[in-house]
Amino acid sequence: MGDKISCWEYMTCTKSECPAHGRPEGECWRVPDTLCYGEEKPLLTEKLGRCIECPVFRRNIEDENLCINLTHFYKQLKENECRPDSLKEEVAVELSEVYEMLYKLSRGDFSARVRLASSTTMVTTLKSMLNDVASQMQQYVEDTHELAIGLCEHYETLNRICRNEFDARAAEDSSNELIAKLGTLINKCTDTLTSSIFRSEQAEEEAKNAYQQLLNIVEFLPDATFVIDGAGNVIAWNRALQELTGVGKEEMLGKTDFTYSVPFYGSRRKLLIDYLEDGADPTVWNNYSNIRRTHNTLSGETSITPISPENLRHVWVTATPLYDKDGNRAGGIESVRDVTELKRAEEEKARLEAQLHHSRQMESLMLKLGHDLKTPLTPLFTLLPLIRERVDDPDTQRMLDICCSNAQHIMNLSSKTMRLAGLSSFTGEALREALELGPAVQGVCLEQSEMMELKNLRCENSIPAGLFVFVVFDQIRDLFSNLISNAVNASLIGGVIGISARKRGEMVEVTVKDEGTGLTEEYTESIFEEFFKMDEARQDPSALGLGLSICKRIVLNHGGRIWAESKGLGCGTSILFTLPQA
Amino acid sequence: MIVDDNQYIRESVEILLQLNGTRLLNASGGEECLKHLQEGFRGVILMDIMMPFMDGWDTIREIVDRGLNDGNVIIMLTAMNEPTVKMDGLQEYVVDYITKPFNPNEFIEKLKFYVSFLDGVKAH
Amino acid sequence: MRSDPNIIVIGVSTGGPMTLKQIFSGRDPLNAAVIIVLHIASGMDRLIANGLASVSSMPVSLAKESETIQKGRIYLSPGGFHLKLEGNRRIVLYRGERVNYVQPSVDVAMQSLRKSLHGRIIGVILTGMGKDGAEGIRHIKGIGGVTIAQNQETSAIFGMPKAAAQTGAVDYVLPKEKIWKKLAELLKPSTSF
Repeated sequence: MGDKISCWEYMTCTKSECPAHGRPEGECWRVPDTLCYGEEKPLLTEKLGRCIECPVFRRNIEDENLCINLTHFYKQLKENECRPDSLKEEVAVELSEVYEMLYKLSRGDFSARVRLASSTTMVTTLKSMLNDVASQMQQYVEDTHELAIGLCEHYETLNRICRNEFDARAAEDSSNELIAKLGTLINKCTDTLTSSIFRSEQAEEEAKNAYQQLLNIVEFLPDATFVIDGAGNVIAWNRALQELTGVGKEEMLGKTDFTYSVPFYGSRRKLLIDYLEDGADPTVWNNYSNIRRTHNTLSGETSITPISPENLRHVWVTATPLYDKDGNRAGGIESVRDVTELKRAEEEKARLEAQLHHSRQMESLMLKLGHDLKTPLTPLFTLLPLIRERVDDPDTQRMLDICCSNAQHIMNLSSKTMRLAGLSSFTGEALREALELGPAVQGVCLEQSEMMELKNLRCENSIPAGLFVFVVFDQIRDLFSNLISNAVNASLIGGVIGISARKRGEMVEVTVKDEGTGLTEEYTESIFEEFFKMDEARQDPSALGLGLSICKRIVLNHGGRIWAESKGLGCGTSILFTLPQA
Repeated sequence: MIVDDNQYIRESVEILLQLNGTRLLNASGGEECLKHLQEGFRGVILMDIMMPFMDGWDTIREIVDRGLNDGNVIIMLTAMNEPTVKMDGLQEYVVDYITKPFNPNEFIEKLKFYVSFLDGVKAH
Repeated sequence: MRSDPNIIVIGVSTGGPMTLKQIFSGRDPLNAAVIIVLHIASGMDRLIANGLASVSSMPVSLAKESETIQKGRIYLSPGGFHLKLEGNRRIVLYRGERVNYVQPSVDVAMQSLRKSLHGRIIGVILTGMGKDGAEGIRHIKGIGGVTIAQNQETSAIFGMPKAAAQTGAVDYVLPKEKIWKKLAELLKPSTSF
């Protein structure tokens, strides 16, 4: 349509005496008696008839439809002015209908409609327009109503949700698109909210379970353990601790203010768990020894007196701080292990080791002594016989004989003592080897065969083939040598020395049996003692009594046992011993 | 020659040999033994093992390395029943082994055997 | 078909000369070729051979390269060489690395023996320091031979015989006085294996 334009501008009219000229609101067609078309002063209706054709009018009325309708209306008005009065009545009636309709509309009754039938099309058009207005208003009111209802429902739903009624659903269908979308959104929010709540409830449940599990684990730990929270309250006091202190968890749970130290010490004081902060209280060193810190864990040893003051237990204590998920200190856990027995065992071990060290020192001294004796014995052995050769006096000779024998005796004693000293350690597996027993014993028998022949004795070796023992070769040789030699000595003329062996579990049991002098019950153990001799007078004086003690030492070195059996005097003797199988 | 750090042992052996008509040269250790050899001693050498500074094996090693062994017979005369591994590589130079204390008669018998042995050398 | 002679290999070290003399002195010849491996420096070997020859009824000589061994003779390994037997008959001498710190080595000599179809093989370890000969004894036992070690009482030094006995492959442990008798016994044709 274009911009509004004033008539004087458009027409380039200079008639300033015209009432429309310079009129600020324009709308020259409403102004009567304008001078647009000369000096005439037409009637308004006639003027209007011309105005509606005027380009100024057409340019200023924007709504084309309104322009057309108005045009038409004015045309009708103009026509009516020329009719007779009777028509004015109908018009008056119709006007009053219109008036009525307008009145109803003003009162908000948008359902009102006016009867369309009229005397003129102009009025009909008018009435129809009124009805349209009413419908529009009605629709508008309905829409607004719908919106309001929808909002109220959503409000109610939201209210319910606020009251935790999460089953509340908003209506998602509505003629109003906005209400429908809002409803969907509200439901989505509710769903998100409920699932979020569900997850958090689950997590809480899991945490509770985990916590319970932890408490259960603590409860059944083998070490006496208790747990405190960040405020120092006891939150766990396990079974083992109950047993150690005699104080049950019912008494301790929830207690604070170092009450947990009472079962240990009979009074309140700091326990290791209370020394966990860095830059700790130096009194910890008074109460605990062997303190060690690895990362956050503190451990130390101390003595406690649980149950009663006389019950002193030595314990090893470990304490660790507990933290929550933000890294804040949330309590601690302390474990107490009774190491009283362990400590005793350690002390005993230290004592035995000292003893062992001492024995070893003694042994090496003995070995050294034995060795060193050989040097001064040498001149004696060399010179005494020479002296004897030089003297003629039989008494002197006899004296020298005694000297010689005794020098020999010293030599033998020193030899055997050295051997005994050298045997004293339990031989570790490294020195041992697998040895077939039968042939080894055969070898020893052969070495002794001359001695046996002198007494017409026979050696019967009935050790089965393929029987192996795990031993130190030299020692076993000495063992059998001694035993066979003893058997030969004990035997009378003629007879058998029997050697047999059989498996017994992981060991091999060997028997060396002679048919000689035999033993009485009282001697079956003492014969293995050092320097023991059964019959001092009768026996060979050069026998030292060390043979069997050496045998015993050898057998013990190999982890075996040795013992003697005899049915009595004159019934022969059996020496039995066990050696490890290979 | 006897090489031994113990004076009584040297004296006893000297007496024993004297009675059997054999001369004995004394050395109280490896150093003296080598000196005697360098001065021309050849014969039976009775070598102790456990001596301070140079033990028996060290001494034998020195004798061999200095080429002084020809014409000598070395017999170990020692309190040790079993030699240590120091003997490895020296077996061929040690002709016999006598443990202290020894039986004088057996001792003389062995000595006579080895002296006559060396007479065989001189005979060559 | 020539018959292989019986072979006796004797390993001996410190205390050897006297012991050998005591074993062979005044005895009849043995029906075997006797090879003695003695740890001795060269120079002494000839003396010992002569010394032994003077008391033994069997001829004694220093083993020579390529010599074929005969029964009833004693062969002494010369000092400074290893001795091997080729085909249980022919002597091979060579200079090589010391074995068990010695040359000649008893192990080298004994381990060169092969299983014999007709003749007996006997290994003997007499007095000596060290453990040369132990493996040789094991080998001889392995090829069906018989083994003897000298006992501790009569050994000047029990080292080598002990090492041999510890292998478990020694049949007899004997004093030196009984060794010859056992050898003669083992060599009798009627003796069963």
